[in-house]
Amino acid sequence: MFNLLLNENMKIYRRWRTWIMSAILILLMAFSFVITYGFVGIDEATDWRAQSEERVMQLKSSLAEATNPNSEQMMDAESLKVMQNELKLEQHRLEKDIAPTNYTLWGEVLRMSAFVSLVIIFVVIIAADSVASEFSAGTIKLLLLQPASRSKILLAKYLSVFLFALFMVLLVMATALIGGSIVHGIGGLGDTYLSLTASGEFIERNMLLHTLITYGLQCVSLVFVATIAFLISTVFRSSVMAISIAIVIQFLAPVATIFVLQYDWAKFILFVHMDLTQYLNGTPLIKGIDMPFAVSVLAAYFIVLNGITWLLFNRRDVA
Amino acid sequence: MGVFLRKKKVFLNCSEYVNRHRNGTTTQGDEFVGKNKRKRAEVNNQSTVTNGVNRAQQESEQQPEQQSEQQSEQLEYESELRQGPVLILRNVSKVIGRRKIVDNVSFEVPRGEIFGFLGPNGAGKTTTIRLIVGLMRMSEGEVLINGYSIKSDFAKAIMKVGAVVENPEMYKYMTGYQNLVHFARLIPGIGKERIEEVVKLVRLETRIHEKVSKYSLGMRQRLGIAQALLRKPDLLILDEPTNGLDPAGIREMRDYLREVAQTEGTAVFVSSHLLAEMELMCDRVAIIQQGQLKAVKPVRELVRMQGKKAVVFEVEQKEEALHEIRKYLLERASQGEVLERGAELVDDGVELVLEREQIADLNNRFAEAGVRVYGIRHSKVSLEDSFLELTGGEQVV
Repeated sequence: MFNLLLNENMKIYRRWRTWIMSAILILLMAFSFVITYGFVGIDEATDWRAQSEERVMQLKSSLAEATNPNSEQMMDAESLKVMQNELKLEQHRLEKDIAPTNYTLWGEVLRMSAFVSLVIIFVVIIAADSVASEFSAGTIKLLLLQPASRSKILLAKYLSVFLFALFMVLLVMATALIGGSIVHGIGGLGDTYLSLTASGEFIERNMLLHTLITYGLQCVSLVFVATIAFLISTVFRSSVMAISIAIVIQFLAPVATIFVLQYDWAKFILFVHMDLTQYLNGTPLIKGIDMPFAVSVLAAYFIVLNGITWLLFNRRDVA
Repeated sequence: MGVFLRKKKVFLNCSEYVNRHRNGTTTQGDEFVGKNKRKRAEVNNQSTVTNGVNRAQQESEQQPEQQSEQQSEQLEYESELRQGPVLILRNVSKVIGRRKIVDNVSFEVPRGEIFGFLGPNGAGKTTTIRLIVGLMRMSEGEVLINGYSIKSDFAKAIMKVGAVVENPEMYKYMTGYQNLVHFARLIPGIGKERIEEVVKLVRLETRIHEKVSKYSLGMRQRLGIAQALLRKPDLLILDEPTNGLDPAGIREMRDYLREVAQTEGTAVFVSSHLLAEMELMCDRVAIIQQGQLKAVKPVRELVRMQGKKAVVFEVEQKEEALHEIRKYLLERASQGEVLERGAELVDDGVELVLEREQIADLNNRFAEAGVRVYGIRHSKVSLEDSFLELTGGEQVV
């Protein structure tokens, strides 16, 4: 099994395109740093306390106005709640002396997690090609003539795709960390993250942990889009088809989600649950759905998608 | 010390096996074609002995001591399996849709034999090969390799099969060497030495570190064969192996396959639609047409199939010659003998089918009648004729 994995890795990393993709990723991230800081420089981040105190004053005065029955400005309960929460958070921040993340080292790393969607595209390319290219190049015949079972070969391919994904995600984090430390220095490495959930509880955790959670949540959709690409690649043995369908799914999923939300069965749709942050923040797209339910739906999809791939790959006559 | 003892024990098992094996080959002897076959079988036995010892060494190094009993039993069991044919097909059929692509095919290939699989394009050659190596599932029947069923015991069955199915397709973005490393990783006990050995065997030393995308078809063919040989196969399956090779390459390959079959006792299964190639290369040939096996015969028998040979008398007085022939044939016919076909005029004389004695008789007649004979020769009945006869004259190639 280990040797199978070595082989699959060799097929991924012995190709130029893998390194070109990595280079594109690093260049785009570097470009994003240059755009942000290359011309303007940093001056906003100097004194967060002053800014925070100012914001507290602002919030207090507008809240006072909103709650005053004589005021002309009317405010609904929801916005009121949001403002109250923000006030609570800022006060807590000043009290505990926890800097906001925006213009810190970790802030950069968090901001750069947006590049995970680019990683998804690259991973889709690798996943789509993994099985399909063996068929189109005819090498599948030699591969299946080895004593290893088809299931193991497929598993090795699947795992190698996610090793590649891990490599790319780590590359994003590392580049962001390096870029961030160039701009902000490495003083903020031990920072703490602070936020307030919708239900009014404070969350306080180490920034490294928070960053890993943020990236991890991004990776949920990565896993599914890559799995779908892998499935299509196995079913149709065409990498072009697998890449295009997977990428279309990746971009249409948010639109489709909005469209299906009006129906009862929306809670069983994969795309609705791909962003798990909604359950962490306590603001689910569909009221009454919680984390365990979402995770079970995701797990069911995961098993079914991979089951189909496995079944087809094992049963297929290779011509 | 313990290691040494065990080695000895295993060695005894092997020699016992060799005796059995020898008996086995002599009973099979009539299926083979005479003397040099027997020689080959002996060479074959010797090499199996050395193989056996090597294997015993490897195994005894790996296994803890108390398992030596089981181990030699296992070896004995395996050697029993190794007595029989390497490849057995029993009533193999493949149905796709309503069509029977392969229809009830059965044959066996013993060790050390080069077995030709001959048929026109689309006859089911490649499909049969795919069924043998498990790339396709058969609808009916079974395939046994070294006694292991390809269906139920895939890993064990395929372990000793080296094959190139259709074109020798490799990973083009890797070098030849990297490709071999890739395949070597999947078979236990194959190291760098073996890779270098096979590279040398197929004469790719100078270019093995180039990317496969730069290889010619002939070089890819060689790389494919190198890949198949990595695991020291008991059964080597090559699908149209001479495709893309120049005449020198074809000859080289032929010699090479002979060598592998003779020294290592490997059974070689070669498919082709090139009749002349088969005639030179193979010991036995199976002819397949529309998925059905038409015949399995030693090549020589196939060539000799008509029994009597066509003879050409080189003469210039063709009319007189024909007259004499007619007289001779009439005499024969009056004695109740019917000749297969009459005489035909050819460029430099007359041709007809005769038995040995009749050739001498007719020559005497010509001498008496004053027809001057400049030469008598057999016109060669090739495999092609037999093939066309067997397949009812369907277009080949």
